[in-house]
Amino acid sequence: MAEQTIFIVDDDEAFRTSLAVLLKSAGYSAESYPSGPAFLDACREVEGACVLLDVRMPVMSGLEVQGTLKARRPDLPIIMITGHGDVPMAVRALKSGAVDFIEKPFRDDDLLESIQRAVTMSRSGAPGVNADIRSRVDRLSPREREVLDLLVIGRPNKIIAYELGISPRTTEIHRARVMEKMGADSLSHLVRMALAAGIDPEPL
Amino acid sequence: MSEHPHISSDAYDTLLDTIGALVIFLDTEGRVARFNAACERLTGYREAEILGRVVWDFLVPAEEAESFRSVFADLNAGILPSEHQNFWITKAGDRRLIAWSNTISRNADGGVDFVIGTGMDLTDKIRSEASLRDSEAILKSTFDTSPNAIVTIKPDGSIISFNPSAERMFGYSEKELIGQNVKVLMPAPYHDKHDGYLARYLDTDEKRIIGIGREVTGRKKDGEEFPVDLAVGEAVTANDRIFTGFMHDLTDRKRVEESARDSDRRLRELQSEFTHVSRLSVMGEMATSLAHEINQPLATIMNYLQACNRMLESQFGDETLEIRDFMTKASDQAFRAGQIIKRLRDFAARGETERLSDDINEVIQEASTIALTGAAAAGVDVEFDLAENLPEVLIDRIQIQQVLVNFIRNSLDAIQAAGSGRLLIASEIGNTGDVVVSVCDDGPGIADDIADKLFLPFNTSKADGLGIGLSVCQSIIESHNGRIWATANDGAGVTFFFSVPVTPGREAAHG
Repeated sequence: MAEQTIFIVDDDEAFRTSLAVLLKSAGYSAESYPSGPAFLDACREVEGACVLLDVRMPVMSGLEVQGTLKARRPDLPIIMITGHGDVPMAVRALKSGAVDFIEKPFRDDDLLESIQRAVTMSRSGAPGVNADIRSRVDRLSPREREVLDLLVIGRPNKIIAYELGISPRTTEIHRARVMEKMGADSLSHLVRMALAAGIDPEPL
Repeated sequence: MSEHPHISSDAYDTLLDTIGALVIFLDTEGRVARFNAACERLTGYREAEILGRVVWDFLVPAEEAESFRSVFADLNAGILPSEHQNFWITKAGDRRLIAWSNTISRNADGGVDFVIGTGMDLTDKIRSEASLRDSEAILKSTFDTSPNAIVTIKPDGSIISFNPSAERMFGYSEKELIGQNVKVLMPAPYHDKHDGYLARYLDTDEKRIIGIGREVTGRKKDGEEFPVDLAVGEAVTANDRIFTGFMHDLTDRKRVEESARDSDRRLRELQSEFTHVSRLSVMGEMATSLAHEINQPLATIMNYLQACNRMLESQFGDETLEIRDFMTKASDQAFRAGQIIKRLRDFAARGETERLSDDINEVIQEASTIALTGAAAAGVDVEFDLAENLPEVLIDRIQIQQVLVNFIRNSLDAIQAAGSGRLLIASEIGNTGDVVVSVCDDGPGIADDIADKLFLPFNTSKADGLGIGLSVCQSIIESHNGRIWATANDGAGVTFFFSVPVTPGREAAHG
């Protein structure tokens, strides 16, 4: 079986190179590009399994690259990589079709697992509403569900507390319980699951 | 013949010139027949120069001559007794008012020989009475129209007078209060102590308020208490003392002062909040850009380490187990660094704080637990001196702990530099009523060159310090309306202090 090629789009050369080395050590072939336009120019001709796209880049942001890429190569699954987690941005990326988003620095296992999932997903098509995750959402109390809905549209705790008329401390407790009941180990995981459960974050 | 010795007419003459009263003899025509020494002194005329002159021609003022002559006529007619007042014009031209008591001496035939007037000069008495009346009128007008409340009392405290301003100020009428003890105008505890104050003063003459004045609290008829400026004067009369209290209602002035103080305080709060928030936002910005800049190399380091790990495993298998274990540990640490930066950014971005009423001693104990964990506290003898029954304070627990941890860590560093030493962490009520927390060490103390810049950012004596710790502490304490300071100990080392205000309404909790 031929090695799968992973595309890396990141403006930081040292990071790009190191990521390529990591991917190669894990049995992938890697091709890296220093910018969105450079990759978009090449992407029609190249064969690949997945794109790792840095969010914050000069000239063209990861989100802009994603928009163009969807039209040119709808088959390519996208994983967004970000230097600092910005939930609304991540949700937007996920809603516009990114498979996942990962924060730097990351553990190789997390990245490889995410790539694996992306590749599998692109083969089997987009997953429908996940019944298992749906049942987890159904186990949330009404208040926890409200907190979840606000979390996945990227509201910070303080705003959630304000909108629900509860204290920030109570919000934190609800939030922790939501994470626990959903079995989420990170906010990105939680957002992914919420999308998989068919929760459509409205205002973006 | 009387059995009494005869008194010669010379003796009478001498007597007339010796007595202080004015004595004048007039013949039936009104001519001066005798003018005693007192008359001479008063008028400036010698008897010799005026004998035989008609009295209303020169001594009695023209406008009174008519009435004088009618009195004189009555006397000549033997109508007695006769008393009247009239003016005399002295040789120098002064007017003197004289009260006369008149009689007549009759001759052997029973006819009138002389009219004799005995007079008292009333001028000085009238003048002093008039001036007394004047000053009384002035006093009365002052008393009635003074904007200050004026109350006079006897030494036993009973009220003698209570002016209209006092009536308006206290809501009592003068009538209600005359004879009442002045303590009705005072709230407890002065109400019960005032008699004692008076007694002590009368006993010792030690002036505590007389001539000094101070701000006291008055009590109106309806029970309302209000601030007054009180000045007390004392008048010693022939047989008693009178105390006069002058009072000025300070309610409005207080209100103005308080509202000025309030807006001043609010302004300062806003300023320090602003400084804090702006420092935090500077920190937030620093943290965000740091996070981005540092995350790139950290991620790169992790990538290489993890790649090497995998390559070693696939090429050399189990032989490299130990090396790979170390590489995993190295990469874990890079990951940890990333987490720390993430938390720093989250913290700095948080900005807003949550204030709750809290027990400072609990906060101190928690913070000490955090700060004293680990090797830093080795060889350090830690003591606590926490005051009991402290009132609760209104604080953001996390932030105050941040300050405490900073203080304690600084002290531990100082002590470690000296090898070993003592650390004393204390809490107490300060003299402003705030709760004061101190951390005292016996380390090497503060270097002179940074002593006055302790709380400014980017000043540090530590080889590896960034110098923002105490600056952040200051911004935290200031945003709590507290104070932060440091003093050099008498012996070795430094004591760092901060104070935070007591939760409003909890002040009384302190015994």
